[in-house]
Amino acid sequence: MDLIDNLWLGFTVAVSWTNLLFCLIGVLVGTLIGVLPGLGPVTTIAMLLPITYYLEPVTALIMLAGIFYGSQYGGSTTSILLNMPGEASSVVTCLDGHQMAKNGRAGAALAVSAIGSFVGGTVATLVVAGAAIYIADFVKTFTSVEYFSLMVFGLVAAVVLASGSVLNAIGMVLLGLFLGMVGTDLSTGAPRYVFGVPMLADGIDFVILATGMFGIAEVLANLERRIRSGQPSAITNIGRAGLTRSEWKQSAPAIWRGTLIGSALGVLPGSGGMLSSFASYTLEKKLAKDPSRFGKGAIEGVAGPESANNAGSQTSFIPLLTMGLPSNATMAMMAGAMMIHGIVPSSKVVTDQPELFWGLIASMWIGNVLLLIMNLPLVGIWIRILEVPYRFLYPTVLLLCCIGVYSLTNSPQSILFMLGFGLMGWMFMKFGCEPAPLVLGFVLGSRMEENLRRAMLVSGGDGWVFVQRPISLVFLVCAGLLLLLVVLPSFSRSREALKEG
Amino acid sequence: MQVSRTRAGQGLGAGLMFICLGGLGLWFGRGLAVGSAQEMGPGYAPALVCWGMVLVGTLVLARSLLRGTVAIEAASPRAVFGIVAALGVFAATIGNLGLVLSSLVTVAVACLIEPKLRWKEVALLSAGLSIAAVVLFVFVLRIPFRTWPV
Amino acid sequence: MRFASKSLMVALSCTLAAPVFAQAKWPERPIRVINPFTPGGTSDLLMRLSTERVEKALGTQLIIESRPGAGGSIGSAVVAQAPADGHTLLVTTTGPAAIAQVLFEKPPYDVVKDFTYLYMFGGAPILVAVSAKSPIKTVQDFVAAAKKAPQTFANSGTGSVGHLTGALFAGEAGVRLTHVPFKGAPEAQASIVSGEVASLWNTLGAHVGGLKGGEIRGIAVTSQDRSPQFPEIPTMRELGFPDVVVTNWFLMAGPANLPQDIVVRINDAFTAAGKDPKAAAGIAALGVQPIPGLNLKNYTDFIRKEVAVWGKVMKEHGIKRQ
Repeated sequence: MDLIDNLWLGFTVAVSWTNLLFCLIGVLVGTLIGVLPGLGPVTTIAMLLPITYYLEPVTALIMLAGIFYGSQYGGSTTSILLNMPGEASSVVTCLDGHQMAKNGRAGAALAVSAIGSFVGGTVATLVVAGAAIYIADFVKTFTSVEYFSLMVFGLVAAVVLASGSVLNAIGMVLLGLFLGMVGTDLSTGAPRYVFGVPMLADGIDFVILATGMFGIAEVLANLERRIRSGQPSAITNIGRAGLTRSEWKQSAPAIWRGTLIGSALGVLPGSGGMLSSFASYTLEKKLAKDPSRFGKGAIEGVAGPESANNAGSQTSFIPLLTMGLPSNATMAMMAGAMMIHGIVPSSKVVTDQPELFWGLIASMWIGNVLLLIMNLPLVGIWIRILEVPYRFLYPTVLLLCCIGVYSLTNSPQSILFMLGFGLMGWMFMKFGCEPAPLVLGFVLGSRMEENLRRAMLVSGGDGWVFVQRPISLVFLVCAGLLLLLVVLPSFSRSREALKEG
Repeated sequence: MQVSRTRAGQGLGAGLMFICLGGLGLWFGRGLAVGSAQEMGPGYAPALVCWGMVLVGTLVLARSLLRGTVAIEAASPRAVFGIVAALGVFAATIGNLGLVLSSLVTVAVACLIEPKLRWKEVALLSAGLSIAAVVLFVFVLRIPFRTWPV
Repeated sequence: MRFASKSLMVALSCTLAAPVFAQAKWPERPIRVINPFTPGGTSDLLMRLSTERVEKALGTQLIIESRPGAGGSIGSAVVAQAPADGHTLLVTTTGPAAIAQVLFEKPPYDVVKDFTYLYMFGGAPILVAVSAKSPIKTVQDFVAAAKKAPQTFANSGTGSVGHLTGALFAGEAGVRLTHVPFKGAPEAQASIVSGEVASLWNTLGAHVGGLKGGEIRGIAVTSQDRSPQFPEIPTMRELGFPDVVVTNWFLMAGPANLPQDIVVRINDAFTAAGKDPKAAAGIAALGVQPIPGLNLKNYTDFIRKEVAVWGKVMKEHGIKRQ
């Protein structure tokens, strides 16, 4: 079989000592930057580019790819332990992961996220190997119309995942969309809500917003609780590292579903990875017998999204490897790495440079194995962090957030923005609004607007295009159904509440 | 669990917050051209979203006035001002004092938020974290931070 | 919104780059190079291709910082205001270094007075392309189609070279073209492959893969002569549009009044780095060709001329200032 021959070729390339070594370096560096707030894979790959110049192209790509998916692994660690998303894609992991830690199940959350990521990564690597070209052909047909409808679906998913009031969640999504529109307007170049602040001209930085709204706000809330009650520590019980039998049973199907969703959505440009973890969380919540457990430490809420985002990070290589089109900023850096070596990323890479294509794919699987081997024993060490008295922990977290954000922009202003978002996040907690839907709205905001405007411009102002194109119609119908599913029970619940009241 | 409900609860806050933020967005976006459905101007989508926020805010507010919502937890000024001070100190000093001193002061200020303060611990922690920050960010990650004041 | 922004970290494994020789005065610390576009773009890659060798030659590190926004003018403004001590440099292109001067109502800097120009990497033409499946095979077909109904054209960004070139062409050919802006070259290319937008007008570099892979068909380039990489694609000049000759060039710059010895050292370092065969292959893969006849003495004149050309394009084709 062709696939087996090709994979064999790939493994012969990937298991050379040099390539194994650089794969290991890549995933190690990736894990480190994933754990730290601020530094992301794009920055790291950018600075390492000149060094890869002296490596074989395939070795360079293996290392850079390792940094990318390694950072996705690492990002969940701080989400679970400190409610501080190290990477964009691990925002969803905060929701139940940190709650699990508060319930004394930090070890289980970390373990399931490592295992889920491994399964997701493995399956998605096979998808890339076996079906990349067919998937690429499908994605090629997507226009602004499809992307817009897909994002509408994503926003509805974000509303569903909120555990409190649906109305508040819709408000938070809108606020997120609004914050996402801050910056220079793409079509006209007009500054919007920039107020003459150069930092805002290119939009609000995601890392600053997320670090503030999650990391800083969480510290603030914990401190308030301590000051009021004199409670000794935010988390008193660290529990043991392994998963219980019932946790296994709950997470296994979630991991598979997450893997499927991630593999599919990861291919889409821009925010595919982010959408996939939100979608997976929503799906798990809808399928659960008792959805009220979500937001309070449901293990499926960690297993699903973690598998999804790691699967998505593997399949996000598909557009680059099959069409030469990078689907996000990290992939653009990978494309740059190829060009620096005089290789033009295009659909011809598979046929012209099979050892590069298959070697990279084989290395992704090896990298996932390395990450699993590395991360499972680390779980025991990571959870020790929770034993550190909170009076030592919170100054550490604050300092890490500050340095991480400062390292991104080199501007003290960014610290003040982080503080502002921290206070906003704290206010949201006071008012019973959850920040997660806001984050998805924020990520999709400007893209959604761009696609809407483009679709309307090309269609000549005809809004019917959104239902005339079949794929778009499917997304919209799904979004509508999902919304009904949420709104109906909440209406009946409120009627009950009225009767009781 | 019995939760007391009040008219001046979370819903009131959330409703007012959405209305205010939507209103601010509309006010500061008033100069942006809205354009037409075919050729949307830079103000089209923000206006749509802001009116949405105002609408949602009104609904949240109405619901809370009719049915009441959970009371808002009291704020702790000590925690809020402590965080503002700690981050403010970092922002103010990192540019001139360099990473070592800036980390030292930031951690010290952050420690003040804790009600049961132990001076020895504060000194040890701030010194330790300051050294750790330099080792991790400057020596391992090679970020060209200014380490000392100029 | 954006995710990442700035590479102000230098090599994680810095042991591989071992510069640092004792130097007189300059450079006394790492040199910050502002790239006013997103990381991974042509300007960023051109810099990174030369980084290693330039660092060795100058004896210090180059820290490339991305400051994207407003067509590159935000990052450029940072350098315009920086002290002229040779520790803050800029990699710039036609957009922020010529078009910005005539596009903005209030340009944030003066491209002639506020910069010292240091080294010309070269230029890339604007590629005009359609989907491989499109019935349009030539520019004549395209003009004929546009005479029947207004055609759309995709490119990466309002006020970019591709955008103004499209507008310039529409004026010359007497047709109406609707501009559909995208955030980046990959998205713009995807939009013509999916059939959503009729044509693509963008700097060649990012689309070499699409042409080689056969997803898109190049119908013209805007350079003076045919591109050596794609000799089968005719130039606009040959096709009867002598005024549609446009290159997007890539240039190193620093703040105004840089000391002459620093200027010469930077120019020498980059010139030597560009001659390295591996770097040269990389630069060619990016679709960037040397522009003959330019040197330290006439860079500023070149900029002055380009500003005049774009000013004329804006005026004659009724493009509004921002």
